[in-house]
Amino acid sequence: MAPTPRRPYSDPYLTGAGLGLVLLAAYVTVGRGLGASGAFGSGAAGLVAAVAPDRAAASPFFSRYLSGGSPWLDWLLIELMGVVIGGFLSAWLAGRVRREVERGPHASSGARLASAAAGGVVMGVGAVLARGCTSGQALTGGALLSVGSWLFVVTAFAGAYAVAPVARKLWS
Amino acid sequence: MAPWFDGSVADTWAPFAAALILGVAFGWSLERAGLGSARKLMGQFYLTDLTVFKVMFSAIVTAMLGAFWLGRLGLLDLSRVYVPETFVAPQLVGGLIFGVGFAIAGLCPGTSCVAAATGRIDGLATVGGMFAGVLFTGLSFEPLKAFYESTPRGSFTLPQAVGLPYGFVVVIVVAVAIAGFALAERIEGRGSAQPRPAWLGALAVGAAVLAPLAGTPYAASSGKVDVATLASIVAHEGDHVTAIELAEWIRDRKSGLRVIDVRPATAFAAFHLPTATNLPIESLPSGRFAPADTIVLYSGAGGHAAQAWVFLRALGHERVFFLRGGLAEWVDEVLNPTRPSSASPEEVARFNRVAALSRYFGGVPRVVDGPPRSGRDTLENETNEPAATTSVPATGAPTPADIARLRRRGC
Repeated sequence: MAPTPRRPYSDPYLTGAGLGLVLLAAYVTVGRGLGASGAFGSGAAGLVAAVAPDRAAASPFFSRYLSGGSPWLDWLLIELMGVVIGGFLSAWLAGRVRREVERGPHASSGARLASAAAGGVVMGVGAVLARGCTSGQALTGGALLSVGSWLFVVTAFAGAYAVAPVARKLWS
Repeated sequence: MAPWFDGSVADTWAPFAAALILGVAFGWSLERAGLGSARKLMGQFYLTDLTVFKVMFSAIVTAMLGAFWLGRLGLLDLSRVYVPETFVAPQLVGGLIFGVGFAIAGLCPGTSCVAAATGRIDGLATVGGMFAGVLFTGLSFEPLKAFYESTPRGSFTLPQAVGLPYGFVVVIVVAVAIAGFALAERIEGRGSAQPRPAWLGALAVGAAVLAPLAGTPYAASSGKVDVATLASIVAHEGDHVTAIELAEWIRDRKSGLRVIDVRPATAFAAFHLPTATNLPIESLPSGRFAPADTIVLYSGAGGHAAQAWVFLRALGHERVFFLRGGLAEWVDEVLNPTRPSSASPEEVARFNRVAALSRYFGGVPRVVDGPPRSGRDTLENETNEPAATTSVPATGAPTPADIARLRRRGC
């Protein structure tokens, strides 16, 4: 699969600055930042609208995604498809694509997959309430000095540090 | 001037091409930094590998400095870049829940997509869980809605919150980031084993130190005033609404209604109208409104709101009104309507309609002897907005005692 040997990751400061330039390019081109969880909202709205249109129209959460054209052509959804493509290309060129369940040496892959899915569900709830995630709030809103985004950063890290010791078995 | 395209409108291919290209670059950056690896992300929370912090804050500092300077140099209209709206309570609680999920999953939404794209099954599991979580929350949204929409502050930035110029806040954020980076290196304990891009730090420090000297990053919003049209609107009383009209609009959830409080953030925090968002008058150029929005401006006594009306009309907004009597009119007419005990049947019928509206907003309609009193008289000569409003109580629906106090103070 990999054209080159597996290479180490790049310098975090340089990559971070590069990511900042991508974010800046988003402000300049489309007047908005990057995101991820919003695409999940759009996808969920699209699914509900296809299966139960009445239910989607009645939900004040989903109806927002359905008011401006097809939810499948949502800007963030297309951006997130780009994320998947970009992430794959970068990993492939660095020889880092590998089918695996990433976990600590003493964790079963079943336990790891369960935690990954359960954590995803909890993040979904939090991202809806907070109107965004680490991309749409922390990065995008953080760099625009949004008060709510900085509040999000503080409580998200607090929540993660509080719970991380419980998940220690998966990684040590 | 940038931004070039409207990212929310699907009428041309350009925003979509931008979405795909920016997404590829975003995913590429995350993968290059190693953020597609849950083990690496968890290193942040076990303090063994602080890559998450370093990448996130380098990105925030870079984009913040870039946005500031492009705005200052007139290359980017910062007022047209969408600042995520602040809703204090749901963002505090949502952030906490999100953080808990982050530590359990080991991945966040964007990085789980990168993990999945690079072959990690746990990344795929998080993507699936995330989708289920959003779907579940969306389907059971009704009981959450009130909380979701509580404590709205609109597009509310740190410079507005702390009352410092934008450039000063930029310096503080960069200083905190650099201190954080130094601390992160000490925690990781690798010392100078890895070379640091010192030129990058120097560039950031230089750009940050000059920021406070540079002034505001917002472009001068020069509007065009058609004096004859505006004068005609004013002459025909088409420029304002009464407190009763506004109350009916809020109660009836008039679509596209945007109630804007143009007083300073401190006055807004002390008291504001239901559904209102704060946009202090000096931040007016940074306000973002949709063409279909009906904007209602209010201030303590109405003076600043009337001036803001002219500014927004000059900036091209069509559906703008202001509350002529300001908060004082709201307190008198909506929260505290009175009618003399000797009133005609028409007056009684009208009063009863207003009384129902008043009770909806927690007001106390009363029948009094003698002519109705007005608290507006003392506020008519508005000289200082904060002084006029600091006496207003701290909740959306003042108690009868609060109203009594308000009336005593004349607001």
